[in-house]
Amino acid sequence: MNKKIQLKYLIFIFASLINSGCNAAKSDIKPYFNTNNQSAAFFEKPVVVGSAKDFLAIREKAWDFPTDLKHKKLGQKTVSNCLILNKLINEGFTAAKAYDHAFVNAQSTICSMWELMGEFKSYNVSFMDKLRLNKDFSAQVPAQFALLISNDDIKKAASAASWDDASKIKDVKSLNDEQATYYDRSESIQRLTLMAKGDYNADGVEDRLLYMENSVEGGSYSSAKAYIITRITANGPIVLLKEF
Amino acid sequence: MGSLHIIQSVGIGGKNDLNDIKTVQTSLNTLLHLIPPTKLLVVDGKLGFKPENSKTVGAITLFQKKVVGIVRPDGKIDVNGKTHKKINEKLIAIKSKTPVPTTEALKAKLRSKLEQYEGRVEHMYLDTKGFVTVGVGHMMPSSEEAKKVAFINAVSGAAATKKEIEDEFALIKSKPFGAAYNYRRFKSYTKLKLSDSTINEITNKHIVIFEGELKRIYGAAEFKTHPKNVKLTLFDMIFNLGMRKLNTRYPKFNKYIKANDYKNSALESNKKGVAAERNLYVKNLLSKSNE
Repeated sequence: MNKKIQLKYLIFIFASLINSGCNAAKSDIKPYFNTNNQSAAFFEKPVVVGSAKDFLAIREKAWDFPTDLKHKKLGQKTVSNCLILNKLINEGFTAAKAYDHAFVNAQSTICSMWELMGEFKSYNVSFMDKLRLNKDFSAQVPAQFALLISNDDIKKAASAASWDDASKIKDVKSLNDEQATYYDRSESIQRLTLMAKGDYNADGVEDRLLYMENSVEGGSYSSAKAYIITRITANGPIVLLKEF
Repeated sequence: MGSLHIIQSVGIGGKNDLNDIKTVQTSLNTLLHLIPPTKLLVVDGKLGFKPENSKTVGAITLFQKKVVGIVRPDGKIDVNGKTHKKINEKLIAIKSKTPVPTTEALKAKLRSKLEQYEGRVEHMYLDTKGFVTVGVGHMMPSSEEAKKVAFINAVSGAAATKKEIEDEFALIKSKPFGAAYNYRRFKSYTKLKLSDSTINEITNKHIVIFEGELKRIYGAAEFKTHPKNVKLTLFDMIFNLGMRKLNTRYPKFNKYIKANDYKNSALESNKKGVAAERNLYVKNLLSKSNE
């Protein structure tokens, strides 16, 4: 980063903090991780994680339930940790059985989440401390949160202002402070879980990592996604930093 | 669509009565597969200020060239003229297509494809929504529903008692679930299973239910006339997406299916998030169904 940009960036952060008013929580806040860290999907006993670094370690830990992958040219391989799973997927491996596609995709998403959670740092200020997983949340976050399966859905969502705008959420059932299930008019069922709070992009502002499991009423469809969101001023929009 | 009835001529230099134009637009929509790359026409009874530039006249011209074999098409359908007669000939051919019954052979092929893409599980497990499930996606919302299924002891083969089913249902229901929890994860908790014939029997019942839903979406008589491969794809779509999703979130796909334009429906059949292999299976079956 050159000096001019660095200076602009510092001024921006400083101005944001001044303008944020009393809504922002200011201090050295340690990252927060949901105790339901999805490790129970891989291990007989869920792994208790104390710090961000622990997430990097469990990526190497051998699973109790290995998974089979296949490659057109390289044949079949059995995988039993996160590092190898995502390495092989990057090399073009897929689920050995077509019916395991969604399962392997969810495993890979969780492994990628752990990698990023391992990098979450303490932050100084939060502009999302009042944010809850409710109907209002779906009106604030981008359309990428919507379950978009058909070509028609994807085209429509390109011009949608929010998740709610793209899929018309009809009901939200809160399971606890960190998890809620969203139901839309076309019978999507989306279970959203807050996985972590911390500083992902080193700007001192709170970012959040969310894990979404998608399914449909009356059908077998299943998929998983993860999102990192942020808000850099008290009344600013929620911005999507990353989705995978 | 039975046959084309028009009172006056339609097209370039035609009388172009609103109702006649609508009838022509509807008829041509049924015959889109004969005049690619024509897209679905809006049935509004209009040819615009300059009929020669309208999509409907474009479709008439293409039909005359490709199907009637006219070297210099005039873009007009005269009552009982060559083009009119040819359209009726093609419409009647579609109407008189022999219904393709959902035979036992088709059901067997369908079961095998569903097993390939959905899995076939003989013991209870939790699906990604947390419902106790068995077989090829047979969801049991309560232990009462589970008791209606003919479970047997996995070791002895003896019929399971209601108490055994109830206990196993409760045990499985108490386990964590999610998209990253594979059905294999639940096997060690189970003592009961289903026989092959019971799984087939339950899957056949689902096929009957899905067939009813597909007939509601596409019309009972029309569904019967779709070729075998098209039926296989529609069953795959509804099994994966559920009735409402397929009916409301795939408008273009459904329009093309209703117009027997399987080539274009293939292009709209993609399901984001589904295995590439499964999407390709559906796309290939549809692409070849107009040949």
